[in-house]
Amino acid sequence: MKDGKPKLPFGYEAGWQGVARACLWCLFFLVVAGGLAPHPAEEIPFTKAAAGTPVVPMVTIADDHRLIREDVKRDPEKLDILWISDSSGVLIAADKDFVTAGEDDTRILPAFVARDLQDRYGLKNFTIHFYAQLGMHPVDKLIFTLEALRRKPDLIVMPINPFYDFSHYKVMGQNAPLQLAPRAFADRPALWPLGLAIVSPSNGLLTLAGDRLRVICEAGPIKREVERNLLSRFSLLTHGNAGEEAKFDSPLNNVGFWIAYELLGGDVSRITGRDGKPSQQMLNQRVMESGSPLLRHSLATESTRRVMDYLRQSGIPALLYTMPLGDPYYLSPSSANALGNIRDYLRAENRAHEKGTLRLIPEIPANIRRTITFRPGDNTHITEPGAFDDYLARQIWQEIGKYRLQKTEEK
Amino acid sequence: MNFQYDSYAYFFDLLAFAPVLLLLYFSTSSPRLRRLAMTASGMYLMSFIAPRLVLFYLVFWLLVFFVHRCAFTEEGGRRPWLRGARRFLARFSIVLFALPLLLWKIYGNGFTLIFTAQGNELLSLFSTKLWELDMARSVVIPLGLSFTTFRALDLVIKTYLGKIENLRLDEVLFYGFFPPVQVFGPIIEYEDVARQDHNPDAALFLYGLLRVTGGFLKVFVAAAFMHPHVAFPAAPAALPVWVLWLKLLGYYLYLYLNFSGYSDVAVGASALFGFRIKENFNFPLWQTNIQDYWNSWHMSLTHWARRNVYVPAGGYRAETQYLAIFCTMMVIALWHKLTPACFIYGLYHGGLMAGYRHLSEARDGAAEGKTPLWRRPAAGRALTYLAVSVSLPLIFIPESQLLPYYAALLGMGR
Repeated sequence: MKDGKPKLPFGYEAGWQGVARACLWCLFFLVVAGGLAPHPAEEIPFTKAAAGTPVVPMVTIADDHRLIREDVKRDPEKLDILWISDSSGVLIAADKDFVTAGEDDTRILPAFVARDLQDRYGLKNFTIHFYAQLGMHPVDKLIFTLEALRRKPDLIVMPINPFYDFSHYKVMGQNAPLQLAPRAFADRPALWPLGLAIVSPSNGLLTLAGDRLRVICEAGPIKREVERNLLSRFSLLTHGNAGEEAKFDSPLNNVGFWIAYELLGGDVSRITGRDGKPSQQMLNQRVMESGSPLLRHSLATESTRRVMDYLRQSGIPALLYTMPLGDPYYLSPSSANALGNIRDYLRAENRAHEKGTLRLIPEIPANIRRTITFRPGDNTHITEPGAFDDYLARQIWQEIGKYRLQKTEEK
Repeated sequence: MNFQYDSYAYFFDLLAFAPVLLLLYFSTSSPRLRRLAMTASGMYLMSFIAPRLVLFYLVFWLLVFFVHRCAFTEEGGRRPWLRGARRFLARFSIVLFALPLLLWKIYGNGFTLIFTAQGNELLSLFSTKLWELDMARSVVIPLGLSFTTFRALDLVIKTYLGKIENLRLDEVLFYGFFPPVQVFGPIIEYEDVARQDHNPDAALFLYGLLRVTGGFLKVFVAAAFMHPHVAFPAAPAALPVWVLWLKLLGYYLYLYLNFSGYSDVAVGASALFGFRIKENFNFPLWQTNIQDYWNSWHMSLTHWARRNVYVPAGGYRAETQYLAIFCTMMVIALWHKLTPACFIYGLYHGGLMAGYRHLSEARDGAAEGKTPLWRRPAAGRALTYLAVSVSLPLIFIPESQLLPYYAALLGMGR
């Protein structure tokens, strides 16, 4: 800058027309760059686990802003079941965890249920669109539910998380679903204040840009693709890299941190196992003991209630089941009491809306629950479904019968 | 647990929001409304990092305003009973405003945990919804704390010296929450943003666009693709010595591209709104000696340190100049981290600066002759580049790995 005036390249004298031209050129180059850049395929988790079944995983990995596969269109000839799921619908081998498990170590609950529907109930012409994200929390579920309603499926299936759907510890998880929020919230003014608080300007821009500015929306995957090529050419320089930057060695995840500080005065030993890592069961039990489930005015409870309301208003049949838990939760008086409160609340909801299209399963029957193998020391996530998949298949089959959704079968 | 927050997300939000903010800002000619729009936007953008940060910085800048108005205004200075207290209050407020930064530098993640937990708890007094949303955000360091501290100290010192007087609350908050430099970029001075009555300027706007674009290209194309190639290796002894050196020299370039890229975005974003804030870099990799390097690298910090450490410590007096140099370099070094390695970094650069000053003075007094090879510009550039590069591990490598790294760099410990 000289004499208070900025110096522009090539002695360029700027006017507002020049600014407009520059903006248009920027836009033009972004569009052209989007055309020239590699078009990496979406990485869709659980593809292998769904192979050979009518289940179609729909959600990309978390840092891909495309998030939901747009290439999969609904087949009007097929019964369309849309299954929204958190980690409770993902079965990881007992010797792995969610971070280390590969595609070979992973199975998904809808695949078991789909086989049961085919083999035991003779349902053939159907697809289960699987909207799964590990760590899906109440606000995420609200966004995914609204996205699901936009697709107008024949039936929606979703688990209820008794720990976090009614407590304040983690109202939302990954950043990516927020990109769906502007579209989902647009025609629901009641959600605008929430939208304003959670949808960042860049989320909004990505939604607006959509496919038009591919180089921005697909920046993550494009970068990975180019990087992969570059890294392979300069392998000597990357050899021996630490990979990720060093991170603070804390035994806690985010939820664990809040529980430790809010309930335990910072004493992490009560939520970490012998290996020094946070125990899912201990964390969940602390949430239960805190009495926070069913916190009436929490954003989480409000979001869960809105999920139910929007499902009812849509008239689309929906089945929400409380995720099954291991016996230790029922042996602890405080958590058994909290689970009882949630069960009573869901039962009351069922009674109040008996004629609606939404059915809630307040609790998985004990005889079914006890056939399930849970992750050791976790008692929350499933490794072997036992009779649970058949139970769910039966419930889905009943819903299908109730609403005569087998119309496509009859054709 | 995620302690990392990528400044990229903040700048992306800022630029995505810029069209709205530009409309808000230039739709009124009232400086007060403009300040309001900018301050509110700064808070809004910061809330996406974590709402607790907004609360913290709001309290912080309210305190700065309180100190500024209650103690250092002209009227306050005329009152004899206050005059005696001014010096005490100046020192006390400097310690007070530097305290969060010092605690963070001393206790690191321990401070971050307590800051997060307490900040969140305080938030619950104002809004339960924000309190819940805050819990869903990362447990992050108080982002922008060092930049904020330096800005606040600068304002307090200038107020004490009578250079800035009688600011209104909205002016202090505007300075505190000025969006382009909230989390990264040059450390601005109040004078940089003191006037808000300007009209939109096409030349400045276009300049801003170019700087923002250039900055993004530096950060997201050049630096992002360089990073995996130049990152410090976890097992340096496993790599050939020449590769280690190549990576080290590359790391300096990467650091420049990343840091100056973000600074470009901050300078450019300010220009979009008609503000010409000071530059942070002036081709530091091209400098021929260590003194010019420090005059062109993170210039806003070195200028701050020169005003507030070097000059008061007697940098312009022959008998105290070397002490002033060491004090200044130590402040700059310990600004990164309060660790022994950073102390060594400060000594190293203080030594280089003092050595260069001594040699320059000796050279000035000597008779002119043929310039030796090592004093030619190309050699000077190469030596300066090398001298800076070899000091970077002191800041960016964990202390436990420093000795093995330097040993591997010298071909030992294999």
